[in-house]
Amino acid sequence: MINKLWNSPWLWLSLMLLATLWYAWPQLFYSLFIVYDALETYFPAGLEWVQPLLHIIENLRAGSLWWIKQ
Amino acid sequence: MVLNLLFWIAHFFLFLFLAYISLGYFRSGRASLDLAIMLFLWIFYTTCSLMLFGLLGWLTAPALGITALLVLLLFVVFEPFRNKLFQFLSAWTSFASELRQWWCTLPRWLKWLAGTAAVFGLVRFAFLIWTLPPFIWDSLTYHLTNVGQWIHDGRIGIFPTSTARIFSPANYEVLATWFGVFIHHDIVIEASGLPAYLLGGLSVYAITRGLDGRQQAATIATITYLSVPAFLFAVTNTKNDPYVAAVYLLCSAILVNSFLRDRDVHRGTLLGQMVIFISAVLFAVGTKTYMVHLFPGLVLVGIGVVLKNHKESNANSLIRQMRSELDALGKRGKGLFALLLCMAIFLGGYWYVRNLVQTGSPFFPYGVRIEGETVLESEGNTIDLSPENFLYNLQAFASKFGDKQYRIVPDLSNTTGWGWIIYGMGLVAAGWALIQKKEFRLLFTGFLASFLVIAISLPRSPWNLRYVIWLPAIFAIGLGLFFEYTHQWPVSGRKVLVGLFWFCLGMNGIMSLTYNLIPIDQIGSMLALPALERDAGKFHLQVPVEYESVYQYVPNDVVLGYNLHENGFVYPLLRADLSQDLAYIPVRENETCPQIADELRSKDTRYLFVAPVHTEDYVIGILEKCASSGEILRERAPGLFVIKSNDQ
Repeated sequence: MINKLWNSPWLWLSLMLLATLWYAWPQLFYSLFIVYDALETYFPAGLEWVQPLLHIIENLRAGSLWWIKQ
Repeated sequence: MVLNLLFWIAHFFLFLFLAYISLGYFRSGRASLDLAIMLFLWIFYTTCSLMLFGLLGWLTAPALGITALLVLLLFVVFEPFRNKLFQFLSAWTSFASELRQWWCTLPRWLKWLAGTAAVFGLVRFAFLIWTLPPFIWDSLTYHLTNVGQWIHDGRIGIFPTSTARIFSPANYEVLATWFGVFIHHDIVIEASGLPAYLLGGLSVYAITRGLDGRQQAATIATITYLSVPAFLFAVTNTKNDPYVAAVYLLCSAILVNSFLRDRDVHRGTLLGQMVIFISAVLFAVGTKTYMVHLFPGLVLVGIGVVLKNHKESNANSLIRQMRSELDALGKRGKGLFALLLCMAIFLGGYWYVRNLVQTGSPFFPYGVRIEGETVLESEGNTIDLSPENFLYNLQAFASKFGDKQYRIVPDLSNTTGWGWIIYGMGLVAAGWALIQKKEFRLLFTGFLASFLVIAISLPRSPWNLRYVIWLPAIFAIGLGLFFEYTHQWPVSGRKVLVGLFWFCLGMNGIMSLTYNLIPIDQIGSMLALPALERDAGKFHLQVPVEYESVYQYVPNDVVLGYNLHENGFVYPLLRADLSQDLAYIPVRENETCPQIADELRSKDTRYLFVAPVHTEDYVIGILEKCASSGEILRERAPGLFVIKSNDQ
């Protein structure tokens, strides 16, 4: 049983996906801000719809950092 | 300028040729490690030549270039060297064919991934190096201050300045002058870390191959390590840590390939490998002292691999083999080994001996404290070796693990900077490799030992994990080996794995575009300037706007006086073309305006530059009082005080 689990691709893939998800917060949002910054500089008009979404993300990020510091 | 470019090419070609002809004595039998050793020899020889010319006061493009051309001419005239020269030129064809063979061993998806990563990496490096001037705090304070002043003076030496940290070991800085001295400009000075980047990548490749990983595993490990933000950012940040990391990895590769493999594969090169190992360690000690703290981990790996592979014959057989190799060496080989070791002792020891002679302490300006007892007095920071410091650093590492506190920036503020692939895939893969691969366990133990030893002495700061940018390499190697194991997986599972690797690599790539730090409009403002006028003082990410006053109001053919504190930016005052004559003007707390003016006159200048945050407040206060009283000095522009013309 243990051998079967050990050799199962899904064990390793699940662990890696979980680790990636764990790492994504907050690093994913920093990267998204870079993309947004670039788009905002070069295509400012097309990004108005993203503003509220970013506002929410920024608040979530600030909240999570506050939570980590606690 | 064309002539200087010719000198630059000649110098590069000469030392590449010398690295090639001496490589014959150091061959490992592993193509990737041979390439890494050849690159190390180029770094080593180039640094040594610049050091000698610099100490003699000949650090100029004509002196370096004409000497290189003359030596090349001698090689063309004398037949044995001429033959070697032709051999060297034809070796590129066989190198290209070996490269093609390696490319053919990779699966299609990896060819796409490696090709995309290589093109992206090249464009990114070229763009950032060309567009941005140096902007990292320590570089502007002392690393590049040394480089710029040495190029300006045509001589390597100590000069009066505000920061005592110019006394730090400086092999990297010597090599960095190569990127500026021929064109007398800093436009490509940030490329000075690229040799370390290549050396680090080749070493990781060679280690993975030495652990019996195939080309595919080694390529994945290499791509992973080369995309680690902490290493990738540091490479173009004009700092010396990438060189220590690259040399550490080279030494690990030598140990793994020399002792772990079947001795028959590379009989006759063990002694040469050990000479390179010792030279590399000494080179790194002369680059940054903390290499001494990494060394025990290497020793542990060395002992471990020797014991593992030579239980029956025991370690004495290795010593016997090295002795027989020494006996079989010709005069030329023995001479080369002796010369290389002498050069290594010179590069490793020069800075410490100079400091001992000039200041009384080999580690000046740093002090050393062991368990609360001051062993060496300091002018600035003190290295604290104590169990408390060790525990503090382990706790600090735990808090930085996972990069949860901040985004990854070049200074690694409160982060490890290991990035998406290492955290998302490398940690799990290394866990698998630790259980499955005995040799990997050995190497991991060595890396862990180096980390634990350096944790005893790490300075307590949010940025201290830049000293361990070699550590993620072990997880990259684990991931490479893990990929090899997944060959037996069903296609669907493998596709998910490859997809995840693409995603994580892409995320590392996105953050690397702007160092995760620089606003796009600031990059735009630099692009708007002509390439040769992108002075470090015009890039206001960290540099105060006052530095612009110097470029606007001070001619570059006069002396500029400056007063900055220990942590102030001296380098931007030299300008991008390293043309400004500088004079450090100390100001005491009770100094009067006439005394300051006298000090300026004695240094043959009427200009005095100060900047908020970079100059002590009391100095700015005195100067402002002088200016408002109308006595002798006036403020010509923000941060720039001049002696009034009628008082000259």
